[in-house]
Amino acid sequence: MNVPIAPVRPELAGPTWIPWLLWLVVFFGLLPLAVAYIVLAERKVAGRFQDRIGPNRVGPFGLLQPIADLLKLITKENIVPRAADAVTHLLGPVLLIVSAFLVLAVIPFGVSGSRAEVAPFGAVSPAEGSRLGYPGLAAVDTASGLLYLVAAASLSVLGVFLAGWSSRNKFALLGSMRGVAQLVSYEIPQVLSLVPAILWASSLSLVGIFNAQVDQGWFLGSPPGIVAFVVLMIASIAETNRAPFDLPEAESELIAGYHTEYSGMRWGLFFLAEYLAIIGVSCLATTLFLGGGMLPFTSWPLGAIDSVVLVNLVLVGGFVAKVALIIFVIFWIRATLPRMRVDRLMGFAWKILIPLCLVNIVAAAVWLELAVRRDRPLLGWLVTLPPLVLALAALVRLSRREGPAPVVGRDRLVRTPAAIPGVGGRDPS
Amino acid sequence: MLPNYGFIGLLLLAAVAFAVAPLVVVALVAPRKWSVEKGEAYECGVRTTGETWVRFRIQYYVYALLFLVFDIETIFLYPWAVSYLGLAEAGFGLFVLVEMVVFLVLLAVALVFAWAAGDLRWV
Repeated sequence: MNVPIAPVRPELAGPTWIPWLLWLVVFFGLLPLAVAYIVLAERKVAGRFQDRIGPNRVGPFGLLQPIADLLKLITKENIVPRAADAVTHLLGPVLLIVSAFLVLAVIPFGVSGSRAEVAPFGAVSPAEGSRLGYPGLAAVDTASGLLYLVAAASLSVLGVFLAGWSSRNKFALLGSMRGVAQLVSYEIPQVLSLVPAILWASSLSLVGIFNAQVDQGWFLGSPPGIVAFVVLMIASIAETNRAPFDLPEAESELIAGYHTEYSGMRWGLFFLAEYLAIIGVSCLATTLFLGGGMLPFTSWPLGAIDSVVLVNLVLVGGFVAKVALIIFVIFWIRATLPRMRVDRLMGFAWKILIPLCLVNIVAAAVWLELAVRRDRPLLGWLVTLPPLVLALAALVRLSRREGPAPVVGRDRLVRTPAAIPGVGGRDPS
Repeated sequence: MLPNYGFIGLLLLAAVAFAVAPLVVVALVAPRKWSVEKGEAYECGVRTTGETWVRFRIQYYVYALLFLVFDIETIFLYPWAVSYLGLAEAGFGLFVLVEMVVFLVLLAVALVFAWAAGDLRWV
């Protein structure tokens, strides 16, 4: 198939430093501000969930609380443990911050033009066979946007591990080991749950995926889309080490996990990175499955209003509203669910999420064939929904057959090669 | 499109500066009162016993091996997902779909094998 070569976009022909400067202001001015008030919002929301009021002393409704917190963090002493590796001790939180910002670079928050043009990495519209799309309001739009995003996001585990290891504290080391175990398990469902969106948009560019949803409607509106969205959210919460997946920083077992040896502003950096990562995963889920800033069931104002500013008023507004909603749900989950046990955490990823994702990819391809290419959405629902429900039910049953938690010593004795006929067992030592 | 990638480099540098800048402020503003106890590892006041950087058996190395297998699999899945619609329009839809189902079944077999062999149990 012929992919038209992209014309030079006008804004790239002009000086590039003006948009770059504006993006830097957004990233380093607006986002930290957003984080400050998301933290306040979380404390307020958590307070309400626990039948408290939450912070309300500093300023009206506690609105100046983040500023007070910042002043406190800045005036606290910077303590690095004597035995710690000073360089990597600093590198840990810096890597986490860098990872969180890099993820946000490819997110399209709106559109940068109100007319569809030949989009270099846009969606293949099955009806037209050409790549037409709206240019996205993203700092960076590359053909491999999602791949880049996944790579940047998985940098964060390096930060967690470096922080835990460099502290030379046993609890920190155990916490970071758990962090690695968690990433190893939950990165797979995360990347697999992105496949349906890539498949339907036939593009790895987030702008392309947004444009495909302008054509096809929100990707959430199909059984494989719903499954992929839910799996993505679960895996993202695990990747950001949020409750109920906060084992790397489980305070009742590991003091504070990997950031035990961090205090004052260094700890503040971890806090900032965690909330930036939450914004990042919420933006990702919104872009991939909730149609970016699009209103439900319609692509209005796109193509109807000519002014980029007015169109973006709706789109960016919708985007922020959806991100806020997702972040609220993440708070809600934290306030509701207790922390998972470590063996169940791993089992949940490997025995339920990953097999479900494999089934879901096939279901997504079937949905594409039936509902998108042949335009029979009802048939698509009928064909894809039952296998997904059955697969989920079967996997839940299967994973529960394993019985109670393993007893370490006895379990190893049972797992000799003779106990598993036909399968060569490993050295039980 | 090359200028775009330049922004990622700029963002990287700016993010590092953004993370280090508050620490510089802290170094200027915050008090510094050093004591031996402050420099100890934080274990609720008890001096830490033994060396921390010891080798210990991580329980999840089989998971790590499986992670490699499945992570590489996505390298194959993403190009398939990107080119599927184009190939389907060109008339290879069923072929491409069946090929990927075969690939996914092979992976599922690997997962089932690991599960049946007890590798997915936390030991």
